[in-house]
Amino acid sequence: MKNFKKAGGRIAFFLPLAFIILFFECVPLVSMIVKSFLEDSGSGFTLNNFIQIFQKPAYLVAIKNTLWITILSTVVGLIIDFFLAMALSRDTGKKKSLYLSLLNLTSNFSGVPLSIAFITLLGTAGVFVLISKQIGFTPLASYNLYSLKGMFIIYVYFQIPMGTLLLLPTFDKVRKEWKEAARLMNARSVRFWLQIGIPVMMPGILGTFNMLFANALATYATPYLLVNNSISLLPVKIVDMFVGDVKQRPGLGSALSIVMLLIVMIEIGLTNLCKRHFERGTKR
Amino acid sequence: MAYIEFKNINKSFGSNHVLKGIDLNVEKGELLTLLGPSGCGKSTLLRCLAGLEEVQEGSIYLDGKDITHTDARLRQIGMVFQQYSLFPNMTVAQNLAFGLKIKKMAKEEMKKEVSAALKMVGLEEKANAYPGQLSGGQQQRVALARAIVTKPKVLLLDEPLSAIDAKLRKNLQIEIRKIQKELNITTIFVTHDQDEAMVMSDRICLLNEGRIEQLGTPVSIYTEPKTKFAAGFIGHYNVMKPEEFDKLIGEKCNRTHAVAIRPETIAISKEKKNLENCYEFKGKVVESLPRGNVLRYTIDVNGIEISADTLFRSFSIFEDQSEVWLSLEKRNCLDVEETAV
Repeated sequence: MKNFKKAGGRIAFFLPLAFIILFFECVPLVSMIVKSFLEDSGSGFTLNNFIQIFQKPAYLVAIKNTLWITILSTVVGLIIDFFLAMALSRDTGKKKSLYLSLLNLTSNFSGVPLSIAFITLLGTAGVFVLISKQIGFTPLASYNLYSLKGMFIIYVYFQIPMGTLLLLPTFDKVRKEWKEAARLMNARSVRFWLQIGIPVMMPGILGTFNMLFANALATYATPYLLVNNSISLLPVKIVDMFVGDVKQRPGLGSALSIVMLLIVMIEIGLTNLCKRHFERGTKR
Repeated sequence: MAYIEFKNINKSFGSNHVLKGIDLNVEKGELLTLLGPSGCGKSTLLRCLAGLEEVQEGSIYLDGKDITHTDARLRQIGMVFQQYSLFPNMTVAQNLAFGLKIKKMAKEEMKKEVSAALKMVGLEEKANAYPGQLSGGQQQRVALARAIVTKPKVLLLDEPLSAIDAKLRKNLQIEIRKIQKELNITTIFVTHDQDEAMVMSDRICLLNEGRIEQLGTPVSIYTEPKTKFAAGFIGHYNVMKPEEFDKLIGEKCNRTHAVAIRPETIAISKEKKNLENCYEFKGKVVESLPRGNVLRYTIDVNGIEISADTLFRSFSIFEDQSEVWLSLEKRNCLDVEETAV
């Protein structure tokens, strides 16, 4: 009786969470999968939505563009994050907490306000662009924020604080004794990091890669505000299919969402394979 | 010239002066133990020799060369840390080969060296295991093999057995000493455990508050402590002021220094023995504590509590509060200084 009560208490404790998962994750997912195989009219099974995605250049370009900006901003962001987190991990005290506060603040600065901030700085009439035109600094004077390459800088910008905060704890895994032992064996710092430090941190780095990848892949507000449909990107395309001004196509929108989901799943699958490789022997 | 020479080494961490003018020589092939309580500077001195800490004043010579400011990478020193120093992402063999690869050793030769080192520590069958799959003792043996496989000029052992259980620890003490003798490698061993220091060392350097308290062979340090600290740290001596000693033996001796008496030099009996060249006095047993094969008595003599050790034999146990006679050879009452000169 006592055990039964205990179990009941536990179930009651998790019930609200279970409801949230069921209604806000499972139901929409199932509905999306079902819709992706239905005609837009809502009747009859079809594979047409998926066939269209992989046949029409508009959707293939959207996938290609999205993958380009997602992978590149994730990799570049991760490299910058690594060195920032490394510098922070060596610091202690007030300076470190000041930087951490700054990172926390900037990690929440994204979406529309961030895009507007970049328009003010690097837009056609942006402060830096105008100054660069005045002083004749061509690379910045001709900067086009309203392009895929132009937006790249914003993507990298919002990846940095989040990635740094996520990577920071993984630096604690690298023990001082390993660095010292390697040094006494005549290993330079670069060799240590390439052969010991980074491989040990790799599960953490790959976890951060997953987060940054998903973060960039699902970014909607920035491209919507800056390029809208002039540059094709998956998140903007998906939203258009549900709330488009001309014609709504929930079936195709759902199929595009499934493709996006598959991209994330493939990425997570690949990183998990890598993780397993790097975790060899480190677990008892 | 000695193989390793520390000359007037000074080192501070902020306002904490950790090493205060250390002068110390280590001979080639010798195993010297740096012994002392936590915070006495023993690990710092070792790390200064390894080049992992910068010396602020003084110089260090190794094999006739001034290495005070030489990069740690180039000192050719092998080191075993307290724990967790093996690279977890590499197998045991890869850990050992790490330093050899940097030396650009040929593959075949490297294989031979690695298996010879593993054979030496008795872990040949673990070559392909990862550190996480080994016990603490095995990990430290691999760390030792890794430290010696590159044939360093000096081997440094920074409390390598402190995280290992007592029985295994004793086996490893013997094993390390055997390997050190076999390779005739100059070794500096750091420990705070006096028994470990006694078992392993050719010489012991006893450190206290950043200074050398006493330097000598285990026997000389144990039997002839020079200071109150040395007597208290190394042999659980009974250390007392001259007036306390007078009170203990019940006569005036006019000693000027503190007196140190090893517990095992005090004999306990039920009756007075009237021995020559001995002090004999009466006391009351306060308590007795078994310490392995030794029974340590705390005995009250004229208001002064002293320790006396006897072999732990059931037929010769004295009850608490029982009156006993203690006899002590005069030559076993040692004069000790307040501090090291």
